[in-house]
Amino acid sequence: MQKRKKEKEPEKQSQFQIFWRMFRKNKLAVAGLVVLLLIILAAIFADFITPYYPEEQNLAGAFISPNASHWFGTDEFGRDIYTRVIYGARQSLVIGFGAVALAMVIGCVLGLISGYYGGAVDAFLMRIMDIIMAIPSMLFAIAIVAALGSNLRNLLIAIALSKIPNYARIMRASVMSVKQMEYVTSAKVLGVSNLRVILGDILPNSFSPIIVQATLGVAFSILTAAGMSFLGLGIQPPTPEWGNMISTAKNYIREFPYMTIFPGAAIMVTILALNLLGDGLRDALDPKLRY
Amino acid sequence: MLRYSIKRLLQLIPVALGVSLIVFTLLHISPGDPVKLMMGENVSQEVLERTREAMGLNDPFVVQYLNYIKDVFLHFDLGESYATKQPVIEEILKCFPSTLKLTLVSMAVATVGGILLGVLSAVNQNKGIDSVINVLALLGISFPSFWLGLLLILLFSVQLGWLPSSGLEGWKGMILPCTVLSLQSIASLTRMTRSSMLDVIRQDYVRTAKAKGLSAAAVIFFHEIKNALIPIITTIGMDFGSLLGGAVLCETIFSIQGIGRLMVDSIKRRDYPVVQGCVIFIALACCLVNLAVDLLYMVIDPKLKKTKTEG
Repeated sequence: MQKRKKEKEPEKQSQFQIFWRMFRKNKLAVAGLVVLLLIILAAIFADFITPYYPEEQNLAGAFISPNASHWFGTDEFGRDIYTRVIYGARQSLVIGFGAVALAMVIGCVLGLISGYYGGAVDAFLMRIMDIIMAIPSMLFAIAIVAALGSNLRNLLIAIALSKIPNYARIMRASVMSVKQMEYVTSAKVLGVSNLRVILGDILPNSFSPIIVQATLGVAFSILTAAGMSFLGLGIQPPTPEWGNMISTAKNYIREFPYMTIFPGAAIMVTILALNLLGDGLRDALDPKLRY
Repeated sequence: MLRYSIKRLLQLIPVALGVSLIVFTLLHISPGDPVKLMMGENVSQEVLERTREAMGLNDPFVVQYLNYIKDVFLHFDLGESYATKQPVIEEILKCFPSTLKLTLVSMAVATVGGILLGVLSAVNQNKGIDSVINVLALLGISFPSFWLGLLLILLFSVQLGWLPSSGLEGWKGMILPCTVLSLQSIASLTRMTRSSMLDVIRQDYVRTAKAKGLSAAAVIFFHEIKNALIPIITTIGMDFGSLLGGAVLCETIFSIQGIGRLMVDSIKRRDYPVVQGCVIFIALACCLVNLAVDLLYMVIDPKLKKTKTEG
């Protein structure tokens, strides 16, 4: 009796422990997580990291190549590019995580309703999702920003709206598959309310694909936001943002290529970290790859 | 097959109407008086009012929308540009060939490159070449395309002087824009192909084919690629939309007079009919491509053909 209990011990690990054990094995994913956390910390504590102000002009010190006091050099107004890159992380992270959070909440609710109730509600909601998906998300974002004006809030809303169908579809698919399971049927037979069935049984089972999609979604949102700002349709100067920094820097690319290189490298490192993290999460959450 | 195709074509109609409604509403609520934008600020109140009436801008929203879609779908008339006074459809058709050329070539490059690299990577799983391709693909999906474009111009046009930094003329002019536009698709398609191939490679019938003595190449081409194609084609179809979106950035960087550039310029000029026309035009193009992809599934997978035509 006692021996059997001991053998069962490993199975008693919580879902999270299993996940964490799998995730930790993937060194690249852990590296991605660490880099991402560093970027987030840098964005939060930007004021303490650099002695310069991101929007402080110093025309006498314009176009200084990278050196000991200006690690990434200075731009056309003599602003320290390292400082601007650090502060720029704020905009990108807010849009990246904000847009995904918004899209995820709305998408999941719509997907739940659609999958759980089915029928006409489902057909109607899914047609709307089809319509949104028919417009490439970059163009959809451009159309929204063209109509509402270009600033951080509108950019965030634009990207979020274009991504709602992704989450709605994942959620709907997993609700439909879980709905057939016996434990859900039995819960309903026992008289558990609809809301509790959804929150207690269906949501936890849809968690993994949503999380993976969200991580990659943050990467996508940051790239789209940077692209929009690069086109002049996103965050406007003088607010430092990686895309609009590159947009200005491209005018000086022949003489001062470092102005273009650093903000772009910041985007790439962030996206790479998110992609590594996303891959790691996908593998760690996939039960087929466990043990 | 024919019946299913027609059914799918008919399903496009509500989507097209929905897209036009969303875009029309968005630009309807945008700030700014279209008449003032069109005629400039120095026009008398009376003239403004008369033009507004003549253009139907005093009609209720629903009437305006119905008139708009009637023009769009019955006469292919997308309205008139505020800036050039030309019909929007003409402006779009003038720019569309460049965008189409850029997108189709990039899509072809991405398809060939992505599938080749993915297969190469999958059949050499866990060997050196697999790791190299994996790293490259990961970098590929992480590179901001507009940044890559600028770096390539810096290297190949400014430093080395080998390739032109703008335009889309000749094969030399195509190299940089198509590389920039296709990079993300190549990378994502490589990853998709690799994982899809790995799924197939583990299947029993592949083992059987190997056991009965088919050469490695024959197994790869007749059994593995064919069966790994469905998710690959889905990715290609979905990538077409993002390629068209990416074309906006690409056209801006390389100064190509395409539809994306037209749209961005029109937003800056507040030339809303052109913006509206471009978005609707591209969305419809994407719908048609997705329809084509859907029909392609049935050619590839007879199982699907049966269920879909019956259901």
